[in-house]
Amino acid sequence: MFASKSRKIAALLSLSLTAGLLLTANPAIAAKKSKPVTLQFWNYWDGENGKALSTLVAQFNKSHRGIIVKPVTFPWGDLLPKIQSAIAAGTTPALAATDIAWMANLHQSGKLLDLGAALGGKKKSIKKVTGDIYPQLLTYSMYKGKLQSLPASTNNLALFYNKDLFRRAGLNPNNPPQTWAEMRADALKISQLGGGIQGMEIYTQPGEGLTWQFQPYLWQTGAGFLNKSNTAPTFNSDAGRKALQFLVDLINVDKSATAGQWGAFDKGAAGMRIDGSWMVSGYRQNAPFEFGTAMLPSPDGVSRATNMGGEQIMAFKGNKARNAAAATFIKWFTSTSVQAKWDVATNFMPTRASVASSTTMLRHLVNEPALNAFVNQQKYAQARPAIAQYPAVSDAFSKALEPAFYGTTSVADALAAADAAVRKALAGS
Amino acid sequence: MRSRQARTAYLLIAPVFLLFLAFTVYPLLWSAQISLTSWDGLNAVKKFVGLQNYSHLLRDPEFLQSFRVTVIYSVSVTLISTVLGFGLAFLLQRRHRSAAFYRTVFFSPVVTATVAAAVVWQLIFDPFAGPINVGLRAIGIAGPGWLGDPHWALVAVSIVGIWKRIGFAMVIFSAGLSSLPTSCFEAAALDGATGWRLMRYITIPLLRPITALVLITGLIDSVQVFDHIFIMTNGGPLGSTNVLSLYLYNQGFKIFHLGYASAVGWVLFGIVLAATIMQWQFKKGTEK
Repeated sequence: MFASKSRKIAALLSLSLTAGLLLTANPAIAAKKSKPVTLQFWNYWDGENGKALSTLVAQFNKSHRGIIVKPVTFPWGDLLPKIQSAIAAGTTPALAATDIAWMANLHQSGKLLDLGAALGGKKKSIKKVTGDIYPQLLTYSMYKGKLQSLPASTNNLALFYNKDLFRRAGLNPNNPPQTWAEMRADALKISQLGGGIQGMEIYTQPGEGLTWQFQPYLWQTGAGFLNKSNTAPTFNSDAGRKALQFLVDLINVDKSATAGQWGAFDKGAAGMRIDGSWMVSGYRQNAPFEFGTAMLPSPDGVSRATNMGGEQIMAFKGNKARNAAAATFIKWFTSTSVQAKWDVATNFMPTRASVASSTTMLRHLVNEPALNAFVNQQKYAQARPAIAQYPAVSDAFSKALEPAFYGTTSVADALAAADAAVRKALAGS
Repeated sequence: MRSRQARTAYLLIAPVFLLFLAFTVYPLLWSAQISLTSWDGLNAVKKFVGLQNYSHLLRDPEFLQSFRVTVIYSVSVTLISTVLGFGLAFLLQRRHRSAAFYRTVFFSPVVTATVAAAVVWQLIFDPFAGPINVGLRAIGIAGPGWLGDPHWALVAVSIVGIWKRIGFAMVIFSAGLSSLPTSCFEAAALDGATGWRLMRYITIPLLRPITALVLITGLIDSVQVFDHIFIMTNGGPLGSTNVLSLYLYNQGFKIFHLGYASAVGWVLFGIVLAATIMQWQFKKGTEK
């Protein structure tokens, strides 16, 4: 008797579990639609940036009745796979902010909301929305004539240097290198301090990190990366070889840099490194040394170039109410006043001329002088090719270059191999 | 009555079975379908390319290198951790009061979060401030770049793999050793066998099924290695630690070759399946 009763209970429990599973698979049955529109906002802004976002979003939620934005933060490497599976499962969030390097692929998904139409339609309104946003940044926003995303932030690469190590090596800590020759000489002097200290830390691990760190050198020598129509590589030239040879010589001739792991500069074990403005606040708080920043040294001190990074904000198509609410948030988030607050809190660079010249921003630059190098350089920032094959191109390029840093391949052979690999990636095979 | 019992049984396994269908069978079949396309994981169109991804695999030097790295990693980690696990189990089989303590110590890596452990190991292998190189520098030796050195990176990540696995092998061998029939040992002792001879002719042969279990589960486990290598080297330098699962991940989620990555996944599945069949066959063989 008892056994059969307990079996019945178990069966019932099991049945309800099964039913529960089936029900939760269909959210429409599980939860009735409630009135205020809740928008999930997927991003990878963590730490200080995440806190800044939460503060801004709280302000938005307070001032916009009927819309609740909920930021959801993933690690950088997880965000895109999450979006991929959300697209496949039809469970995309209302909003997302992602790396500009992924935009070409996201545009092709057919799931992004046409912001031009959502914010009022017709071409005139696109201009009204984009306003004084820097046109370079908008190359990542348009797809087949439609505005499908907007710049949420931007940044670029400058030179970070360790003033303590400069002093110890007998260098002037207030006179960072301007040219490649000066950078090479300074790096050599610092590495001669010994004890495993590198003069210059170079990013040699394959992937977009290597490519994006190396591209400024290619732009500075005039070699470029891809041609204007993004159909063929241009780096396999004398100018390209000069750029790569410069870094390879630091490693293999001067021994002032090492191929391998990244992170020596953070520990005070490297004199210089190229990195983005987002590192400024972290170093200000945690670096075990005094640091400075400078515009990227160039071959002759004149031909400036840096790489442009950043995020774009977009909405995934949903129902009418969700689309309208998402568009409202995007418009608000990309507006001059909000962007100024955002940049001050995160040390990202302005996406609009009006943000750059705002008093909020100007005051911030006085408080954080290390940002000046980045701001002064923004006009030299170049955009990476906004094409769907770019991730594969960048991967192939970096993998072909890596052996040159280890001295197992010559610079000429590495670039020739990169040329062939990039052509293949562009062809999509 | 029987059919009622059967009905109850089906009902009881239904929740798990549903989850299994939704989260294992369906994705598996879906990935088989994707492996026949050139889909990037985002595009609205999934272009069918037949078996092209699979034929490309065989000609892709990066895949072949990745395959080689996986074989070297799996074989060395499995063999070394099995031998060391057996050694520890043997040393700890006597009922010292401290044996339980040491067993816990050696088992703790198995239950330590891999990502956290990987971060700590990264610090240990740090060429500048890591204790290994600091120690070597103190005695006048310039240590290698470890995770940044193509000759040492695979050694370093294998050490972590072994460290993580020894405890499991030790526990299984401990259980095996304690269940061995004492009569065999007594008989052998009467015949004058001692020490190494007992080990060679009695202990090791009797432990054959256990050894096979440890070896094959070790192989299945290490072929699929991902997390600590992802954290420590991300497959580099020069692809020297680029194991198959990492290669798959990078193809699918970094450069958007999801169709191709699915094909890699099926190759990985094939390897694990082969190992599992081997285990079954062996089990059948020893049961006869």
